[in-house]
Amino acid sequence: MSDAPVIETTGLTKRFGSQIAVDGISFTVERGQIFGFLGPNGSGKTTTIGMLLGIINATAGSFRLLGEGSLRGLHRVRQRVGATLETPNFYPYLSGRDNLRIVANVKRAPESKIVEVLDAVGLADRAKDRFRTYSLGMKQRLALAATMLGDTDLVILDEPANGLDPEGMREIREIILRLREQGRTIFLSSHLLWEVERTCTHVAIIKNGRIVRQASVSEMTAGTVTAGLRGGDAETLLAIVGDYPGAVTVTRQADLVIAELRDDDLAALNAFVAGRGIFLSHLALRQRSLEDVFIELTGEPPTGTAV
Amino acid sequence: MNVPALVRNETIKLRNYVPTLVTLGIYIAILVLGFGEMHRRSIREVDPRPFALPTAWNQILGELLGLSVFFICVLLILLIANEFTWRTARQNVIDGLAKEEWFLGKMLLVAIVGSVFFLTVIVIGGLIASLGDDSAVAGPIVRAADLKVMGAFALSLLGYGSLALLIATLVRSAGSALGIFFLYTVLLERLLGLGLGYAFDRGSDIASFLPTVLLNALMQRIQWDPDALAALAAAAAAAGQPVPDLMSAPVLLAAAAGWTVAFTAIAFVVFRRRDL
Repeated sequence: MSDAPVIETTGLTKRFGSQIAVDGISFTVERGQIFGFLGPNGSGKTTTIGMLLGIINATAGSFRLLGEGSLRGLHRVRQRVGATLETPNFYPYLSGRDNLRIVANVKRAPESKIVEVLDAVGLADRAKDRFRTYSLGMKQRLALAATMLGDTDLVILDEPANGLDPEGMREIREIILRLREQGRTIFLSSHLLWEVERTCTHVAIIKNGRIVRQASVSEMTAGTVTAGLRGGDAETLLAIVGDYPGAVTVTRQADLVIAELRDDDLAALNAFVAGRGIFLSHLALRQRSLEDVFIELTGEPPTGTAV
Repeated sequence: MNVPALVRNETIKLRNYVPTLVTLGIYIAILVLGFGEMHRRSIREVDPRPFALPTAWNQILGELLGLSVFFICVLLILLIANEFTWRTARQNVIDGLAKEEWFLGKMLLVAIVGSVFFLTVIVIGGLIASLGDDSAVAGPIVRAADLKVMGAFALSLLGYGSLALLIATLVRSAGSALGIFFLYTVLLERLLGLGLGYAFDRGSDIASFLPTVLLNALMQRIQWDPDALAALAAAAAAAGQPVPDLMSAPVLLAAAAGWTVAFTAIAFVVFRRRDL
């Protein structure tokens, strides 16, 4: 197995007319990572993935998949890539098994593998039912089953937990972790940041077609001390904490004010706020989440944020 | 190119698709009724022509065979355009098919669907004709002229299939593609032919090279069967009408093949250049 990066893009660009959807992005995904690809709606995530998968023609730049960069080589290695883009796309009138049979024929996977992957995603008993009769969760699981067919080294998933209930999300997360245990590299695009934070090892954040930061999840969430404050009117509290000399940044999520601090002296912060007539009902140090980083970097909350 | 895998996949999609069964079922019913009626009229001597092989090929490879063009094109447009609606064309490429392979799969589909309908006519027509009284007819079961008509018809089906492929690939929506297909074949090309006739001295000659005019001419028995042409000429002379002016066979074949290749090539270039 090669040590070359699984995905390596250099100045990848896509223009639709005069509009730049992806603006010269460069990033690297190493073998064995679960790589989260994050960004607000319309930031260029799906277009980037589409270029990697060969369904969108890049305007400029280049990329290598599993060490291959030539047109012929890319086509060859794509058979070792399992991917779904946006929604699971299958023939609605065919059964789950027949849909996988089509994928297996493309990937030159043996028929016996179909039974195995259907079992792995818990769809063995619905294998003969038509795809159109499946629930959204079952469709997502069938898409994951399809990615396991063939000799797959890289799995690319675009919003795999979209529209799923918590139980469905848990199932998808478990399957993703199982895929990684089997030695596969996972490239995961999602706006469910708490899911990404629980699942991914590395993250890149894209905004307006450009990568604004790429790091491991632990590096991304490390840094300054963050405190959560609640009490009185949130807007007033936001303004007061903004004046606190030890505050680096202050944001608000509903009635919770979140402050990045230069130190962890919460007593001083409490005294500062009380001195301005607000008595806090909640004051606690909090782990800086990926969502906090995302908001800082993109200036907008992710859609579909969990509560 | 993994052609056997492409054939397997197109076959899985085709045989499980309800419109395949519906169109094929309707066509079989039409054939059984049509050829059955020809057989009935023959044995009751309502029609003096015996409906028995080999002369029955004149009727089998006639109007009812031409009807298969309609069913084949409808089915191909539904199968191909819906690949874009369902985004399965995109997913096939994501799964590892090169765009060239995907397109080759559709060309194979055109050939498979055409063959299924073509063989259906031959088998049903042949079976019903074999029930007829062949004492009044002589010669081999399939004559040279019948083989020529069959070959020309196969080329015509490929031509129409490639037109359906082009429209489905360009429009990418089954409903709109069907509308455009019928608008073009039923109305636009006729208007174009009339316009050429009015605009140029030899406009009607140019109009005879329009795609569906050519493909329909291919299917005419008189083009390939000297006996049928002689009979028609005699009938025309008896009625005081001019003998039909036929295009030479090589020119007709070359022009029909040219349109088929052109439709396929345009569809391929458009498919390869556009994002999925």
